[in-house]
Amino acid sequence: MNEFSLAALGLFAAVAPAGALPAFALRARNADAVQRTGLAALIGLIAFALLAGTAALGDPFLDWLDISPENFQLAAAIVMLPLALRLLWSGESMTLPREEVGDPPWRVWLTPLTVPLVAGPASLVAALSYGTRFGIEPTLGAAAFVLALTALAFAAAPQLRRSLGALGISALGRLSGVLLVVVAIELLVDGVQSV
Amino acid sequence: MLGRSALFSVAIWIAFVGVLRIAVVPPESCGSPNRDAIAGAAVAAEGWLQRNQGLDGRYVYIYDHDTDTISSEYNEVRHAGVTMALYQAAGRFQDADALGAGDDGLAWMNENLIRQDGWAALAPGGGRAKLGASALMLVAVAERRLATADPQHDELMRELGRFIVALQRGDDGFYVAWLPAERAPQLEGTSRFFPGEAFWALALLHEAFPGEGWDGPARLAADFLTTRRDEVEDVSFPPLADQWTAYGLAEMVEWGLDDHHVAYARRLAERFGFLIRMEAQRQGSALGTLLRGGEIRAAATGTWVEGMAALWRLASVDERLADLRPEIKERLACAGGILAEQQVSGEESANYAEPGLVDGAWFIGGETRMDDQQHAFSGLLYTVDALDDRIQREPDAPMTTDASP
Repeated sequence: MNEFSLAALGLFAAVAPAGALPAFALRARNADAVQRTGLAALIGLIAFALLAGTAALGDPFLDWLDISPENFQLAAAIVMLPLALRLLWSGESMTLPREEVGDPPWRVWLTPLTVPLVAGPASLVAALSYGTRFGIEPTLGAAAFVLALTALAFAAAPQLRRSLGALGISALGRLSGVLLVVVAIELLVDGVQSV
Repeated sequence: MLGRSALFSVAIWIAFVGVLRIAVVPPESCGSPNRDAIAGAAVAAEGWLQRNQGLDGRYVYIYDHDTDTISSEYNEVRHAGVTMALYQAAGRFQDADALGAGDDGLAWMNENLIRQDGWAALAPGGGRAKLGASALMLVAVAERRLATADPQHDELMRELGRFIVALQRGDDGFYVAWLPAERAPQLEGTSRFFPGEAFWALALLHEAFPGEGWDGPARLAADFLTTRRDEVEDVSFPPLADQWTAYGLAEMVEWGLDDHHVAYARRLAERFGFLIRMEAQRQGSALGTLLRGGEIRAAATGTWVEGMAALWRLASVDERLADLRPEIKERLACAGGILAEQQVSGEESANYAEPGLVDGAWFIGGETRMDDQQHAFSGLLYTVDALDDRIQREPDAPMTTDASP
C-alpha cells in the first residue's frame, strides 16, 4: 500500500462515517435535503480544516512536547481505542442525549456534529501521526478524500438508512470498529519498530 | 455553549491525555546532542582508558568512587575490547600514547595465549578459552593493523582466525569456548554475543587478507546470525540488540549483502532506535526515569550507539537501507548527546578522591566498569563520523611507528 492509501484507510477508520451516520441523522432529522447537504458540506470543510491544521502543525507541536513522532504513534494508538471499543459495542461513534435530539441543525453543526463526531480525538491524532509519518501532502489528500466520502454519506443519510436499514448501518459501524483496532495496532507496531 | 455532558467528556479526555503524557509519551531529552560535545566526550573516555592501566597491561576493571576501591575481578573479553578501542583511538587520532597503551594490553593477551593445532586462543591461566576473548583480540589486532599498517602480528591474526573457525559449529553458529584440559570445545552453554564478535573478527580478517578464504566462514556466520541466532538463543524480543553483528555486516557491505542480511540490519536499526527513544524518555524527566526504570550502564547505551553507527555506515553504502539514513543519524545524535551529558567532566572529577579514575568515566550506583568507557568511546567516535558524513571507518592514513609489544 502506498502512503496515500495507508493514510486514507487510517483516517477512514478514525472518522468512521458509518458510526457517525446515526448521530448525524438524528441531529439533522428536521432538516430538508438542501439544509442537510449544506450541513454535510460545512461539517466536511470544517473537519478538513481541523485535520489539515493538525497534520501541518504536527512536527512543531511534537517538538514543543519533546516527543518523537515514532513515540507519539504509541499514544495515538491508545487514543483510538475508546472509539474502537464504542464502535464495536454499539456500532455508533457517539450516543446522543434524547433531549438534545430535536436541536435545529444551525445550533449543532460545530459541536457535536463536527467536533467530536467527525473531527474527534481519534481522527485528530491519526492526522497528526500520518502527517509526521508520511508528510503533509498524502495526509491532506487522504483527509480530503475521507471527509468528502463522509459528507456524501451524511447528505444521503435518509437514502442510506432506507437502503441499508438501521441494522445494516449498525453492522457497518461495528466493522469500522474492527478496522480502527487494526489501524491502531498498525500504528502501535510501526511506532515500536520505527528507527 | 457546551452542555454539561460535553464538558464532562472534555474533562475525561483531558485526564486521559494527561495519563498518556505521563505514562506513554513522557518528554524525551537528548542531553548535549551536538558534534563537539560528543567528540569531546569520546576524547575524555579515551583518556580514562589510557590512564587506568596497570604495569602488567591490564586495565582498571571496576572502580567505585564512593568507597574509592578498585575491584580485583577481571574479564579477558572486556580486556580485549578495551585494547581494541585504544587501537581505534590510536589510528583515528594518530595518538602514539593510545598505541602504546594498546600494545601493553596486547602484550598481556600474548602472555595468556594457548596454542594448539595451528591456532591460538586467549585463555588466561591456561583455563577455558572463551570464543569472545579471542574474537575481540583478533579485532583489536586488526584495528592495530589498520592504525599502523604494521604487519608484525599478521600470523597471530591468522592463528586467532583458525581458532574461531575451529569453534564454528555445523549449524554455522559457534561453540562458546575451548576446554584445554579436555582438548575439546565446550558443548554445553552458549553466548548471545560471542558469535557476533566472531563474525566481525572473521570479516576483518578477510578485509586484511583477501583471497585467503576467511570470507567463507564469515558469510556462514552472517547467515546464522541474521536468520537463526535469535531462535537458538531463545531471544524473547528479537532481534537481539547485537552491535557486533552490525559491525560485521557493515564490514561485509562491500562484498555484497544478501536480502536477508539487509532485512536483519533494518530490524536491528529499528531495535536500536526503539531502545534509544526509550532511553531519551528516561532522561526527559524524573517521572520518565521512574516509569522507564533506573539508570542503565553507559556500556549498554554505548553498544546501541556502536550498533547504530555501524548500521549508519552500512545504510550509507547499501541503497536498500538508504531510507534509514536520516533517522539513524538523528538517533545517533540523541544517544551521543545523552552519553556526553552523563559523562563525568574533568571539573566534576576534582571533587573525588581519585580524579584520574573518575574523569571521562560513566558511573552507575557509584561504580564504573572499563567497558562503560570502551563501548561509549567506540560509539561516540563513530557517531562523530556519522555527524560528519564520514563513511570510511578506517583511519585516513596509517600512523608511523616502530612500537612493538
